[in-house]
Amino acid sequence: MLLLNLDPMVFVRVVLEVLSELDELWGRCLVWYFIRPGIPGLVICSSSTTGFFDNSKTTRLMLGLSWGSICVHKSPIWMHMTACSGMAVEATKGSMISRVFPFLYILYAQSRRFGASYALPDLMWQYLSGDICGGKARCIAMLKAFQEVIQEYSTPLEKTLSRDLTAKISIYVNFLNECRPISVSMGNAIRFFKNRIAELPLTMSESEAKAALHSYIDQFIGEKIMMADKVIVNHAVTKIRDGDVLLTYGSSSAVEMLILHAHELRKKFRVVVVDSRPKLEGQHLLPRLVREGISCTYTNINANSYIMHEVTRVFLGASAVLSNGTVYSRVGTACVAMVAHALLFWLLTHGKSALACLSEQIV
Amino acid sequence: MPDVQSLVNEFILKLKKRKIEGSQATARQTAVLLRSVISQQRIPYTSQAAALIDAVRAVGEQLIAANPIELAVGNIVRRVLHIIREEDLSLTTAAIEGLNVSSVSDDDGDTDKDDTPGLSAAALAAAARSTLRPPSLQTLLEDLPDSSAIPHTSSSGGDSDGKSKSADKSTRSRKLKHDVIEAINELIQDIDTCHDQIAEQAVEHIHHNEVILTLGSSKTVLEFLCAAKEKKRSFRVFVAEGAPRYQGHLLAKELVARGLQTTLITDSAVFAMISRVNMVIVGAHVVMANGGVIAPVGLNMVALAAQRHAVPFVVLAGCHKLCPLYPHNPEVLLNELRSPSELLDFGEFSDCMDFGYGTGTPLLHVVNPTFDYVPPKLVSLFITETGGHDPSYMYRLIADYYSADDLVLQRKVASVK
Repeated sequence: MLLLNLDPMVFVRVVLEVLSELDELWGRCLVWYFIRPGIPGLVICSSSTTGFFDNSKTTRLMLGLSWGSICVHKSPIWMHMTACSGMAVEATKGSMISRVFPFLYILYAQSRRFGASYALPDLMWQYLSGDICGGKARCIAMLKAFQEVIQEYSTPLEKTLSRDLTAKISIYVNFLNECRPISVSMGNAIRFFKNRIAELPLTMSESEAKAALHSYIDQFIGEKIMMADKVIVNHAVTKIRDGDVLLTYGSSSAVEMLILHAHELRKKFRVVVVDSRPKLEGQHLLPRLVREGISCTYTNINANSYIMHEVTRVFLGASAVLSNGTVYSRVGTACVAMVAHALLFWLLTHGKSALACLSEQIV
Repeated sequence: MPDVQSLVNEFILKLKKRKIEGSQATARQTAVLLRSVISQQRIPYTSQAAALIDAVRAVGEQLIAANPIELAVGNIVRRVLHIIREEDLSLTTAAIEGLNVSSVSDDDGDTDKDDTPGLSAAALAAAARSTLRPPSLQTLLEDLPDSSAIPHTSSSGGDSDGKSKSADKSTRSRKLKHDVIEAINELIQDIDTCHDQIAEQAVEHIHHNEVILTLGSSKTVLEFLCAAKEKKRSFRVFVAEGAPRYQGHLLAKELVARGLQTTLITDSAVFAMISRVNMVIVGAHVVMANGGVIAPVGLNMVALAAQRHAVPFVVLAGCHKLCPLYPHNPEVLLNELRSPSELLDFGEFSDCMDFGYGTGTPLLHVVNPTFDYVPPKLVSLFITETGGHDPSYMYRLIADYYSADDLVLQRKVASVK
């Protein structure tokens, strides 16, 4: 086969070019199917069947069952069988799917031998399944994935690195947006990154440019995210006094850092963790606090008017702060803030999302 | 008597173990129990009302002590005491002979009034006593009963005081018990039909294309919404699920079964959705004398959000939920904390629970209250069987249904009259 010596990066590029011509939903499913066979089959089945199989139920059922079997068995044999059955079914339809399906399958089979990196599809899957949650975590994960993308990137002939890479990044961001709408923090990071790419001098060689971009991303993560956290925590810890009862809602990384830092400084306080459905994120924060020896109370959001009488400080995390001062955060934060209207209300916001309201008027 | 005592003990046990769900069922069973206590009580010829009152008080104290949070028990006990007093009063005025009096009594139509012509010093005093209490709006607007009502048999004659007095007493004793039991039967009937009477008013409050928000599950609310649906109003309902018991799920299923367009939301999403809502309709556990509401947990949050967005907050309550007590620190005193297992899975958090054993105090507390207090300024409207009322009107309804003497049910060591 002439495709035997296919370079993995070429494979990715080809796939992406092909996919960009297809319907977005279908493209997304293809990426998942080929690159990450361990995905629960039902997700693929439902999204794929709604996306592009516009006829018989049996077709959908068959393909759905076969893909479902992939997740159960996770063996290449099943995958091959599924792909073949899929091809056989689709070949009768004459749609674009039938033309593309076998081609991509072959490409995939080759690429597995070359071990192409699947940073971006992995990321897409993590967003969709909710493995990564929270503005800061998503932003950092995305930037790390971009770093891997840059590493494997090579400029095609007759194209400049800055324009081509920017175009690629835009495509990736569109895909990520399909999985889950990007947060304000991610939007700011992407804007920063694209600015840096555009500012690269044309005389730079490709490897130098890639190294520079890599370091810019590291710098962003280090300064705007990690360092900003530390500075915020240092400021906020002065607000906590001995004997305080702090209330926090859900699980915010900044608030958690603050509480642990205050505990390290030997301040005497206790924490009320208010939790709510559907994610019940407070149940993740709770063990982390109790293990450090902080005395905690745990309630549901419905009970927050009961518990608010004993609370002295409320600390809430934010996903974004808008330019008119409105705070954008996890659902239910407004309820907690409302009930605490008579109490001191401190908002912990991240440097990068505050940057949004300083540098851009529209968020 | 021993028969009644065993009934009482059985009921007390059920209350202690929280076997009876819901204030309507509790109220009904309390009323039935008190009826049997009264019917089996042997009363002396003199001061029968006092004897009945003492008996009911004794039983009522025990019942309230069994479940202090279920205020419906106390409400019904006080209602029965008020009924006894009212019946005694009306019989006293009826037994006075020879003069015309129109007795203005302010109970809510519980009993047939026996009006007879008769005026004397005692009757005047009785009439003055009854007018000292503010007349209820309903009785003012109703026609006063004619003086040509059926005369009391014992006073149709009217010869010598002594003869009529003895005749009075014997018939009075039977009459008092009979009247009281009749009144309690009416009370039980009111309790049974409270949902229907409230639901009749649904059409006036729910209009076309409205969006209603509710939290948790209340039978009154369910009947209310379905009555509006039957009158061909089309509207949508948002049901907040009401963690941690998730009774909103049950309500949503019921509403869908009856054909209403329902959306189930989490409690944290209430603030986000409230701007799109026309009205919040909820049920209550107890309504206090100042118009405050003891409601299922989470409703204070909903009420605050409704106030911020100028959405009417309507509370449906049957009159057995009306409590004559004022709430002092209701969050703590009138609340019940349930098991933490509803919030946390013990298995997952067992390592957290172990921490702090050495130091003596556990590090992790889980708070799971059952009720929330909603202050009266957040409530826009109360809908009871008698119609819609402002929270500030609640004290008048309470004056209708309860006597001031019954507010404290503990027996005094030296009885002061």
